[in-house]
Amino acid sequence: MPDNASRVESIARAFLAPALLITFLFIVAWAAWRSPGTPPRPEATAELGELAVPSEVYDPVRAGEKLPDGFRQVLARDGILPVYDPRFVSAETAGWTPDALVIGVEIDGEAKAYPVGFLNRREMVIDRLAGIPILVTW
Amino acid sequence: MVHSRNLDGEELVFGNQGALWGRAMTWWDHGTGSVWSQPIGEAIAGPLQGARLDLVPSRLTTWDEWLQSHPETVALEAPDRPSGFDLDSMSIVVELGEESIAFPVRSLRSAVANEVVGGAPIAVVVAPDLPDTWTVFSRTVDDRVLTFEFSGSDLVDRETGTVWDPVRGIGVSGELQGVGLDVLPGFTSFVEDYWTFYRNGRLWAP
Repeated sequence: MPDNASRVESIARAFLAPALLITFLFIVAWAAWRSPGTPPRPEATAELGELAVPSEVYDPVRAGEKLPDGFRQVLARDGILPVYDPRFVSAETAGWTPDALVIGVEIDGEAKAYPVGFLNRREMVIDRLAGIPILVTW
Repeated sequence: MVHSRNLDGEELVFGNQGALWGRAMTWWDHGTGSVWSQPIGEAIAGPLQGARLDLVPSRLTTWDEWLQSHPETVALEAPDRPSGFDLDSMSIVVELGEESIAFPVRSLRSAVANEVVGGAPIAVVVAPDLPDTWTVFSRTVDDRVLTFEFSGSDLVDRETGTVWDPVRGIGVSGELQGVGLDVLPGFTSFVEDYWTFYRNGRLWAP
């Protein structure tokens, strides 16, 4: 037969346990309400114009896919950063020397020129001409 | 080189893979991460392996010449550093249908290549006065097939004697004055790396 003290203890246990649980849940809910939320996952593709090499994009080289003979990984992806947001100026503003080597492209009467000396450094321009998405490379 | 970024109606965004194949650059596409070879515009690994981009006709030429032929052109906002480019170590590759031929630029300094690639009569011309400028032309005008040669620094055809602009392929004087030849796509590859891209290709000799 339980004595007085142990009866008090068992009553306390019966009330305390749910009370603690409710308090705990309340704190969790409050913390969740206060926190700004989980940060969004980084976008899988880089915003044009930003340097962002998304590591979660598949890479056949890192995945160990068989690449053709003579294939050689030299730098990291975008180690030479392509021009993702090319800007253009008028021919007069460009002020290039007449014998500068350029890649010229014309579609539907719209024409653009890209100087080879600059492309030597950046290698790629992600662009658009007459509504057509184009890739200019050197 | 200029490629279309449209693949079956889907617009692709490319980055630099930072790897070389056949001493030429490779790309990756942001959507699938496939690896692409620049000279052939083809995915060589990854989910899109075997897919090919279309070439957009473009010209390697001098700023002066481009501006004269395209006065309305805009210019990439970028400085024109010296290019340090040596076209003589390259070959011009023409691929039409199932056939591919590489034309070493050195051999084109003094001769025009009159060839048939994939059934199409073509001419590869390196302009004598613009040493870094080359163009691939169709040799078919209406139903006639022309044969081109240099006469001094002029480009002329044997059949009609018409003098042609060696860069733009427009008849300058003679019977076909004002006629424009069709320009065909081609690309440059280091001569010895051509075999990386086309095992069954052919090297042209004058």
